[in-house]
Amino acid sequence: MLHRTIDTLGWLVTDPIGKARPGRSPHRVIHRQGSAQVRWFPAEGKRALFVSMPLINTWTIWDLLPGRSVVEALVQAGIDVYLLDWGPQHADAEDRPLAHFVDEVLGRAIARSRRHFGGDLNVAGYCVGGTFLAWHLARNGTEGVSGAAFVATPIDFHASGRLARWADPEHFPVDTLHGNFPAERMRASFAWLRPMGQVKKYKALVDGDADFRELWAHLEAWSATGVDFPGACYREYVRACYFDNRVRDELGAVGIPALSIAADRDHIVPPAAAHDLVQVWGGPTATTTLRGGHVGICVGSGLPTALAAWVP
Amino acid sequence: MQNADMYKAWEKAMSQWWDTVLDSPAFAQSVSQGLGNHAKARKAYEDQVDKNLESMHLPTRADLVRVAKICGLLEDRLLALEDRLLEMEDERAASEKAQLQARIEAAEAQLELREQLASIEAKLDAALAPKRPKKRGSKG
Repeated sequence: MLHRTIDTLGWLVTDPIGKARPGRSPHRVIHRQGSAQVRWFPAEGKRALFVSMPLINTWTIWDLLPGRSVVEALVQAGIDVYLLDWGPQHADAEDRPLAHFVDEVLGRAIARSRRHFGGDLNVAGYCVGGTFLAWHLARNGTEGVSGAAFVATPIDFHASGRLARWADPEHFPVDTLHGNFPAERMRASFAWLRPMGQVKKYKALVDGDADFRELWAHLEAWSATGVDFPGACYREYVRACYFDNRVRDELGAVGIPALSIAADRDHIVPPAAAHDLVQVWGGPTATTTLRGGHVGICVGSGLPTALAAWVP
Repeated sequence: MQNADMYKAWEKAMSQWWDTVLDSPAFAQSVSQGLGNHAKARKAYEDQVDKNLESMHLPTRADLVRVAKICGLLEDRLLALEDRLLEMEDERAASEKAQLQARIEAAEAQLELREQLASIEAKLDAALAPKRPKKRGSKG
C-alpha cells in the first residue's frame, strides 16, 4: 500500500492533469452564436443525433479520451453527431433570461443542425442540457425532431435528494445573488453532496492501474473546467425547477417518443428524478438504467450503446 | 481486523456522520447565508473597483460589459437576418423545385400528346390506305 501510494504521488508530480487533452475526436464547427457552438462529428451516415450538453460543464465529458468517448462510439456506429457546446459564459450573459438559452440558442442550434444534415433529427440532452431540451420541445414544438433521449436529466427536481433540500426556497438566497453563478461554487456544492467521494476518488487512484490513471487525470482535467451559470438564467432556473418543480407540468404537450437514461448510482440526478419523465411526457416513453454515477456513465460503453440502439 | 476492513468501517462511520451534518437544516441555512454574504461582498468589491477606475478615467467593468452586451444584441439581429435569408433560400429552392416539376410534367404531357397524335395518324393512314386507287404503270 505504501509503495503504491508513493508511486501514485510520483505520478501526480508529473502533472498528468495538466497534460490531459480531452475532446480530441475530429469535428468541425458548423454554427456559432455568442459563446455557443455546434460541433459536427461526421459519420457521413444516414442517422444523426443532436446533443444538448449542460450549460454548466464543458462538452468534453462526452469525448473524454479515445476509447472512452460517447461521440467517438456514436460516429463509429454510423451516427452523425451535432453537439451543442454552450461555451464559456461571461459577464455580458448575466442578464440573459432562460428563454434566450432554451428558445433562441437551442432552437437555432437544432434548426441549423437539421439544415446541415438535410433531414429530421433525433435529439438528446445530458443533465441540465436535457432539462433545457425538454423545455424547448414543450415550448417550441417538435418540428423536424423524430425522438428525444434524456441522459441523467432531472425532470422531477424535488426527487433530486440532497441538492433539492439545499435549494429550498426557505433558505436559498436566490434573489440576493449577483452576477453569474461561479463555476467553482457549483463544483464545490456537487463535491459537498458526497464528501467521502473525494476520499474514495484518491483511494481508487492509488488502487488503479495505468489505464485508470489516464482516465482519472482526464476526469480531473474536465472537472476543473466548469462554466459559470449566467445570473438571470440561473435565478429563473432555480425558481422554476428547484422551488416550483415546474418543468414536469409542461411536458404533457410533447408527443414524440422519448427515452430516459439514468445512472443507478447518480447522487446528483437519482433515477427517480430522471425517470419521472414517464409520468409526465405526452408521447410514448422508455427507460434504461445504466450502471455508474452521473459522470461515470459518460465514460462507459453502456451509454453510446443504448443511444445507438435507440436512434432509428 | 485487516486494513481493508478497518478502512471500510472508517468510511462507513464518516459517511454516516457527514449525512447527519449535511442533511441538517442548520447546514443548509448556514451555506445559504454564506452564499448571500459572498454575493454582497462581491458586489461591493466590484462597485468599489469600478469607482476607482472611473476616478482614473479608465473604462470600468460595467463599461466593458455594456459594450459586450451591445455586440451580443447586434449578433442576435444578424442571426435573425441570417435565419430570414435561409428561409428565403429554402422558399426559393422549393419554388424552383416546384417550377421544374411543373415543366417536367408539361413536357411529359406534350410527349404523351405527341405519341397519341402519332398513333391517331398511323390509324388514319391505315384506314385511308385501301381506298386509294392503285397507280398503273405508263405504257411508254
